Amino acid sequence: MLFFLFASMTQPTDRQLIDETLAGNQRAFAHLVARHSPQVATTIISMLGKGMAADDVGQEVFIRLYRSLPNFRHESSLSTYLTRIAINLCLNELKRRRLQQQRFRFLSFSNNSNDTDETPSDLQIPDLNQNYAEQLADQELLHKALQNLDDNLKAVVVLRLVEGYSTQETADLLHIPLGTVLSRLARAQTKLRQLLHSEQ
Amino acid sequence: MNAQHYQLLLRSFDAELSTVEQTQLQTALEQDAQLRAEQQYLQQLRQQLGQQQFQFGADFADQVLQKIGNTTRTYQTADYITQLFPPIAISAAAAILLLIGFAYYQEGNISLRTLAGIILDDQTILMYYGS
Repeated sequence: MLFFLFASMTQPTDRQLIDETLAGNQRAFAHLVARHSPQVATTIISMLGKGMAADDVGQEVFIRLYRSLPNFRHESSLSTYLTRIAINLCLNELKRRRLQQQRFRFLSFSNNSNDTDETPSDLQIPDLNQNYAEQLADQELLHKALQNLDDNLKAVVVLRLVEGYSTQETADLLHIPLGTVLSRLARAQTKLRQLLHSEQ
Repeated sequence: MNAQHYQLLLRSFDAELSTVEQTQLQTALEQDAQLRAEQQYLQQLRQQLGQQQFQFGADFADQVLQKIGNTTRTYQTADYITQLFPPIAISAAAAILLLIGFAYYQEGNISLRTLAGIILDDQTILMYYGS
């Protein structure tokens, strides 16, 4: 009761909502879900595309959060913690999809076989189209191009450019060296540039 | 467009360039119109990516709570069964010991036959085995 009286006066912090959830208040957890679901949705849908799988993974993220709340130590912010769970579940889901594709011997049109961390020396950058500004403003087109990136490149782009984490935070979230993040970012931008050009 | 300058341009967005590299990139940008256009393109690309926003369905939070409720109930049932096991196991063990004791009291020995409650007197043995 006191919680809702307090909540009506000011926005409760994540820590307060976590404490309330641990005390058995389900509405406090619903509040946490409502607060963080847009960010989690952006991460997951950027990684997996729109569809049922994205919703299922999103639900799984919050179920895992709920189960781990008694052990949550507030060492990182809740949003970073959720992003870590989300990105790992997305990478697992993409791996599962890839294995399923291989099992049924479908052809994958993304260049997974060329997935190295080396910076390409022979750049093939198509000339800029006059209407590139309009093309970039088309969020659907951009989302489609993002879906065609290799999983590792996509994860880096989503964390660094979509979610706005620093390069070091991106490296920490993905457990990869900073140099790898930088080279993947460079490759991802070049690849996105090529993919968007091919959509013209 | 020079590939090395393009790489410098890409790196400049995410990493701190050395003074030499900064000068090199600055000079290249001043001299190469195509590189300047690329810089503008990449800035816009990154800006547009930062504006990507998505939402789950309207009843997402309810679905999450419902799933949590379901899994919690499953865990509670499993916990209940686990908690029930020790008293049931102890009662069963006590019952078995009582039966063995009773069989020993009745027959004076313990064998599979007495435990199974099969009483074989001389007449029955003669009937089945003929000797």
